[in-house]
Amino acid sequence: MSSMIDMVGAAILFGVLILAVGRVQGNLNQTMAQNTFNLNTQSEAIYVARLIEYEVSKAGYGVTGSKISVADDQSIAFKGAMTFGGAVDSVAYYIGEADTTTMNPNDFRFVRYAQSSGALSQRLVMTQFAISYFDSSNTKMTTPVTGNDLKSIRSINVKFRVESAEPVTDASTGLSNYNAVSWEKLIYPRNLGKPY
Amino acid sequence: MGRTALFLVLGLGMAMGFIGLQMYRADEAAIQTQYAYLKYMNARNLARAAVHAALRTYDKNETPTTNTKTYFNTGDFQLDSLASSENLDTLRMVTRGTYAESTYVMHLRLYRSTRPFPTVNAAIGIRAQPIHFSLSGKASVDGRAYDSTGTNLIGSGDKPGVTTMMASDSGTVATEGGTLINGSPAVKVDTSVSDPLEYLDIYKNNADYFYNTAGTYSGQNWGSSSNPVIVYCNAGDDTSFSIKFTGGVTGYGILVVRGNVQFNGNLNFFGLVIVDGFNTTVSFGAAGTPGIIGGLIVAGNAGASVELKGTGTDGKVVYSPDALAKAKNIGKLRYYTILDWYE
Repeated sequence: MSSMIDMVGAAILFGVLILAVGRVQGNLNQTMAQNTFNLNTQSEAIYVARLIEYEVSKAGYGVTGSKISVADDQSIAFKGAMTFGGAVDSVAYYIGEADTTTMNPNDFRFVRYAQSSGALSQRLVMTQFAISYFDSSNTKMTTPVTGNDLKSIRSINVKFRVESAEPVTDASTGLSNYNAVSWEKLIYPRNLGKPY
Repeated sequence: MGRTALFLVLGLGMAMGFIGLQMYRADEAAIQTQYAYLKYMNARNLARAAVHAALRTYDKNETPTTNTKTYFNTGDFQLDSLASSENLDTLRMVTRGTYAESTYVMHLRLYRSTRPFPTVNAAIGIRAQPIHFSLSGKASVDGRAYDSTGTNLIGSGDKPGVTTMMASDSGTVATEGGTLINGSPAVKVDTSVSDPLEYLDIYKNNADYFYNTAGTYSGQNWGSSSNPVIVYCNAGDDTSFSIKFTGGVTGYGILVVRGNVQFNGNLNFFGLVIVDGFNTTVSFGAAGTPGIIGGLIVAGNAGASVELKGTGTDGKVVYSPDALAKAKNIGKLRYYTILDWYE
């Protein structure tokens, strides 16, 4: 009789333990997923940030004549040599079509075009991409900047937001949200002030 | 039963440990990603600091040293290489910033220019009308072009001794100066004398020596021939010579006096002297051998006064394009235009 009680007790205990382990496992999986999305979002944001910083700061390098050809609030096209003493390339950034492959309803593709390598439409789960332009007196210019005003651009402010592809549920509150990283920088391409 | 429970707990512990490790790796990767960006940014900022440090060294009329690390903000920066044109107008430099294992290199080519400088077309250029002018004793004005020491004639580029804004003033100066004024010609009407007012703020903001208190100053040394400086005196409009320099004053570069000034004793200034004010009075006292090698611009309202006396044998004011060129090229008055900047 006592061994029967032992067995029933053990079974109940085992069941409770399995439930607890299942719950812990579930929470851990959720946290891990959150961490993974965090990492992906951060990595993508840093990748784009470094790309933009690297290339925009070279706008006008090795260029005689027009340096920026398109200056709108969601697109930019400029010329510059991307390597030291290298050939001048034409580079453009603009937003592409909405990305329907993710659960995020707001993301769109980020397109980087280079004359040397063509257009590359990237799925970065980008939800915001905004550019503004400033002249030599640090006055914000009205977009789109066109014609002779393009010569007056001295600094470029780039802002973007990258989010997670899927919503992440907070284990404690149960609320779902998209992880996000925002990046903004005012870049002074040193070669823009060179005489035409 | 007891053994089974033990295995269960052990297995559970291992599973937890494995999951914990995975989470730690994800966290670590996120931190590393952020830190890599931080290192890159710091290295870039340090490389830029190297550019600024090199240019500030030029401001001090010194040449920056290459391949010498400067440690800053737990990183370091250095000037990898530096090449300049013969006249130092074009600078090529490569700078490097290092933070942890991140390195950032910049290649740049800069054009070095001088700021606009007052045009000095005479030993003394007077921009006021009418004026009072007196010259007595052995004081003299010489518009012939001398070298930067004021002792040897160059042989070309001679200027007038004194220029005034109106013919009647020129007549007064010529009569008063007589043979004590030399130049090509000795006295001339020149209405194009630069208005020093537009330069004064620049000189004030970049002054190496600033005198803002009325008084008598002696034993002052301002810069050297290889390191000319800017001296700014705010004398006010007190006609009793609120700023007076007496004995043992030597300077190189640009001397600006707002108001009235009296030079006495052994004052030697090599470069440009600007005296500007409402009722400007420039007075060279009788004692000692005060002198200016370079050029003097006097500007002010009607009635500005220039009075030169002297017992010494040295010329009071001597025109020297070389001394003026050194003043014009004071490091901190230079600015840079980017010809190429790669980073």
